[in-house]
Amino acid sequence: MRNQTIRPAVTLCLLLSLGLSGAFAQNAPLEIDIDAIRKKMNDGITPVALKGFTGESLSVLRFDLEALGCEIVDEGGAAYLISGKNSDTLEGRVFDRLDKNKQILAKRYKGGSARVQAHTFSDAIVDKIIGPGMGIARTKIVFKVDTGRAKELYITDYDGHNPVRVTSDNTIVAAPTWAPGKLALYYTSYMRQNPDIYFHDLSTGRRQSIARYSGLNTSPAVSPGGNKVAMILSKGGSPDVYVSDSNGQNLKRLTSTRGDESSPCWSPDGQRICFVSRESGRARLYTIPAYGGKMSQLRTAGVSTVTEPDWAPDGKTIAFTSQYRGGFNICTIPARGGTATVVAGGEDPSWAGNSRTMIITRRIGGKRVLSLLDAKTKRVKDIRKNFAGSCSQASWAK
Amino acid sequence: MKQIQKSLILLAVAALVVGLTGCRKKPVGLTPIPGQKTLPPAQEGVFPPEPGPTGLAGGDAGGGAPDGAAIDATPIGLGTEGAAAGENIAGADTSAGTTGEDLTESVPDNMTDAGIPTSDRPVFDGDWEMDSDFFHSNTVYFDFDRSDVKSSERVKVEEVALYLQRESRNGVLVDGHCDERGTEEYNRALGERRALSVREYLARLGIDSSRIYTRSFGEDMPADPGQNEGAYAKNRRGEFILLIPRKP
Repeated sequence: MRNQTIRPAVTLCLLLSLGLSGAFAQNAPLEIDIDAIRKKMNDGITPVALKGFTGESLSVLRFDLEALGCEIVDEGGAAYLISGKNSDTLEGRVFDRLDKNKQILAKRYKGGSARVQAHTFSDAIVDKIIGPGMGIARTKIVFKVDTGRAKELYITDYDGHNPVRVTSDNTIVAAPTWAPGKLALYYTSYMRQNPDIYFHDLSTGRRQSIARYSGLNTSPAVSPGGNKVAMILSKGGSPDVYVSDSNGQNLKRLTSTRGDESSPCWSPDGQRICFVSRESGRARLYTIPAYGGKMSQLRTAGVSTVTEPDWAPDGKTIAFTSQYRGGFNICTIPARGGTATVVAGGEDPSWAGNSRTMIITRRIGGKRVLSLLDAKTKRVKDIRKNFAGSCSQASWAK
Repeated sequence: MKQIQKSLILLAVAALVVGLTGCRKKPVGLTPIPGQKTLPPAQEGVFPPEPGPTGLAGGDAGGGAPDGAAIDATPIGLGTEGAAAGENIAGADTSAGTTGEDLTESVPDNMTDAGIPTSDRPVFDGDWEMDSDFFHSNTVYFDFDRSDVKSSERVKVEEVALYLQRESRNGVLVDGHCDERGTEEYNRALGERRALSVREYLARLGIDSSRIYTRSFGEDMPADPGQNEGAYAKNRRGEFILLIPRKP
C-alpha cells in the first residue's frame, strides 16, 4: 500500500480559501490512499467525499451519487472531493484528487427547492465524474401502489419524493408506462370491470381507452417514436402480442400462439419487440419484427422461467426477471441473447435513460418496495418509502 | 515527490492569481467561481436549475412535479372507444391438435391454433345481470404455473355446462386468478390463459363459446392473502359468474 502526503494540495486549498471563501478551509494535512481508491474504481465504484453540505441538500447529494455507484467516504479515500455549502442557494465544487486536486466543476444554484438544487448539482457532478448524460436525478417514475383491494398509480421523483396521485378510481390499475417525452401515460385499468388499456394525458386529465376488447387488454408498451403501442390482448382466443397506433387504431396481431404471451417491450430503434411466451411450456424471451414476422427465441443461458424484459435505451442490453424456487432475480443479457448475468434479487426492471440504472421491485417482509439498481456495481438502493401499501410495476420516464 | 510539490505550488499560485483577478471583475459581495467556462454570464453568476431532461419538470424550478390538479382531475371522455374493428381470425382453421389435453369431446369449429376467438365487445358492454354466488362451489383450482383444467376439476366445469345447456339464455364469465409467486403481468396473462382453458372445455362440452366470457385478475385478487402453499393453492383458481340477460 502506498500512502502519499499531499500537503501542497492542502496549501492550494488554503490559498484559495483565503482568496475566496472560508468554506473550503482545511487544517490538517491529508493522506490519500491511492491504491485503495484505484481498487474501488476498478470495481466500478467511485469513492467521493462530501464536505460542507448539510441537511436535505446533503442527503439528496448522497442519495444521487450512491445511486450511480459512488461510495461516500472520508477525504483520504476519495477520488473526488465535493465541497460546498447550502442555505437559500447551493454552491459546490468538485476536485479531482487523483489529478493534482484539480477543480473540475464549480456551480451555484438559486431558486427552486433545496432538493431541486441538490439534484441539479448532482447531475452536473455525475456528468463529470461518471459520464456525460448519466445523471438521472431529475427524472420521474410512475408505479402502482396496492393498498388492499384498490390499486392506484402515483408519480414521484426517481428517489420516491414528491408523490403525485394519478388515479383515484378505487379499482385495480396495473402496468403503467410512459409515452416517451410526453406528460402522458398508458396503463391497464379495471375501472369498467374489464382490464382495458387507457391513454392518460396528465396535463389535461383526459383519458381514452385504446383497447377494450373482450378478455384481456394489458401491458401497453409505447414505441420509442411514440406512434405505436404494443400490448397483450386475448380476443383471438389466447393472450397474444398486438400492435396498434398510439390511439388504438390499426390494430395488428403479431403472435398467434397457444401459450400466453406477456410484457412486450421495444428495441430502441423501434424495429423489434421483445416479449415473453409460454409457447414452449415454460416462460422464455422471444423477439419479433415490430411490423410482423416470425418470432425467434432469445437465448438466456443459465436461467429459466424468464419474464418482464426491458430493452436498455442504448440498445445493447435486455434486462429481465428470472424466477427460481426461492424468488426472483434481475438478470441482463446482450440484446442478441447470450449468457444471463444475475445482477441482483428483485423483479420487473425498468431502465433509466442512462442505460445503467434500473428501478426494480423487491418483496420484503410480505410487502413490495421499489429500489434502484446500478447495473455496473450491482448495488441496490431503496427509494423513499412513502406508502403503507405495496409498490410495484415502476416505469421510468424517458 | 519534490517535483510534484513544486508543480502544485506553482498551480496554487496560478489559481490564486486567477481567483483574485476574477474577483476584481465581479460585483462586490458575490463569490466568484473560477475556472469554469460554464459559469453563466447572466443573473450575477447565479445558475438557474436546468429543467429536467425528460421535460417533465417543464422548466419549473420549484420541484418539477406535474401539475397536481390536472392529474387529479376527474377524467372525461371515458366513453371514447379505441379501434373496434381489429381482425377476426375466426372460422376456417380448425387445427386444434396442439392443445395437449386428452379430451375426447368434440372440438368447437372456430378453434384456431391459439384458441377460440371472442367477440370484440367485453361482457360488461352487454346487458347482463351478474351473480357471483351461484357457481360458488364450482371454482376450479390449478396447479402451480399451469393453465390446463386438471381431471379432478373437470366435474365442476361439467356441472356448469349442464346448467348452461338447461338455461340456454344465460351465459357465464370465467375469472382467472393466480398465486403471487409469478411476476405481475406474467400472472395476468396466465390468469387469462386459465380462464380460456375453462372456456375451451365448456365449448368442447357443447356450450356456444359466444356465451362464455373471460377476465383475468392475475395475482391482484387473492382469495387468501396468506403467503404459504395452502393460500397459494386457493388463489390459483377460475371462478364462474353467472350471466343472466336483463329483461327489456
